[in-house]
Amino acid sequence: MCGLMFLGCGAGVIGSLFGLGGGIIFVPILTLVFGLAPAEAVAVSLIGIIAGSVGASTVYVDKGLSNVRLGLLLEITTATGAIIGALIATIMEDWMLLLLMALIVIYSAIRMIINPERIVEPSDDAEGMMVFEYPGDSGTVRYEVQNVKGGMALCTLAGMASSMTGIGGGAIKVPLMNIYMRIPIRAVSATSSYMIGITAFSGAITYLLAGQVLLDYAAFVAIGSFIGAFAGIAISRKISAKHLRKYFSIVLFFMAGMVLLQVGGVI
Amino acid sequence: MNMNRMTALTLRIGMTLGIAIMIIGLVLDAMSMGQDVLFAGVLILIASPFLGIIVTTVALISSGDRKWSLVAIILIAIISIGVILSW
Repeated sequence: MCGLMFLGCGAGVIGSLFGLGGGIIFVPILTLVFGLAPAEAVAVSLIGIIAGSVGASTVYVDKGLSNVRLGLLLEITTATGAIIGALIATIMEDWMLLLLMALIVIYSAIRMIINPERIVEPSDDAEGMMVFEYPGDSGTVRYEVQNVKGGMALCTLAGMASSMTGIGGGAIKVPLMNIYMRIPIRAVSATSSYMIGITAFSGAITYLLAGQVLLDYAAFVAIGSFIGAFAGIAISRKISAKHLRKYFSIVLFFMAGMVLLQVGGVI
Repeated sequence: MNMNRMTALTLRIGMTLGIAIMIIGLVLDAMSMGQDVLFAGVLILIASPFLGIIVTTVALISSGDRKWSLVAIILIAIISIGVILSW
């Protein structure tokens, strides 16, 4: 019980701090440590992700840190990709997909370390569909989202990858939004925190209605995840955006390591 | 009406209700009778992000933001298709 809540807490922290779902970390723990079947573990993990996402969003969306409009736009192609992925998942070898994912995640982590954040600041009177702002540490930060079409297209791939392998939602989209679409990391992680709950919704509701959710396990993980989400928000206030990017890369390397262990058949 | 405020409020209601009902369910479950209550709690929690999008859509429409309303409506349609297909 305490173990499950602790696990949920960890999921909530990385969900609210980085905007990562963390299925790749939590599903193996649920199967190896708690003895759940793979499908049961995925279902519980999805519910933990939603709990953390909802908890974090009550604060991030309210403050305007999450970019809800952009989140919905990118979610359109992500969800479409997820549907395509689910349809073609059966025709590709698992280990090839996982290996590909590990390489993409490692590439993203390296880019997050070597590329400094470059934001396009719109001029004061600039108005447009892609000009946004959020309350930063020292006043309002305005930014203009770049490469919107390319970003949407790549989100389709991220959605496909995540429904085929269970990873890639946040791990691909956060670097994509930060480096390619030039969105400030704070807005990115808050927006991704909001988005992962929506991405997890379809899968979670299907598992629940099919009666495949271990309800007591899910409840303990969800409660832990709420607590973790608020802890993540508190931590996020204390660390600078620069450090946030660095810690994010470290988590990405760890995730890639978990994937490689899975490819190697260790877990 | 303020879109962010309304969406966050919806999520807050879903979160509070879901958690409260889950805790009641866990207590009842200890007496081996809480499964239905737990189910209700988990369902409310899971549904919150989707209900959030619906409230966002209503807020966008009422503020006359046509482009972004369309984005939100398309998303609702795609998520619905996804749920139906995986069913």
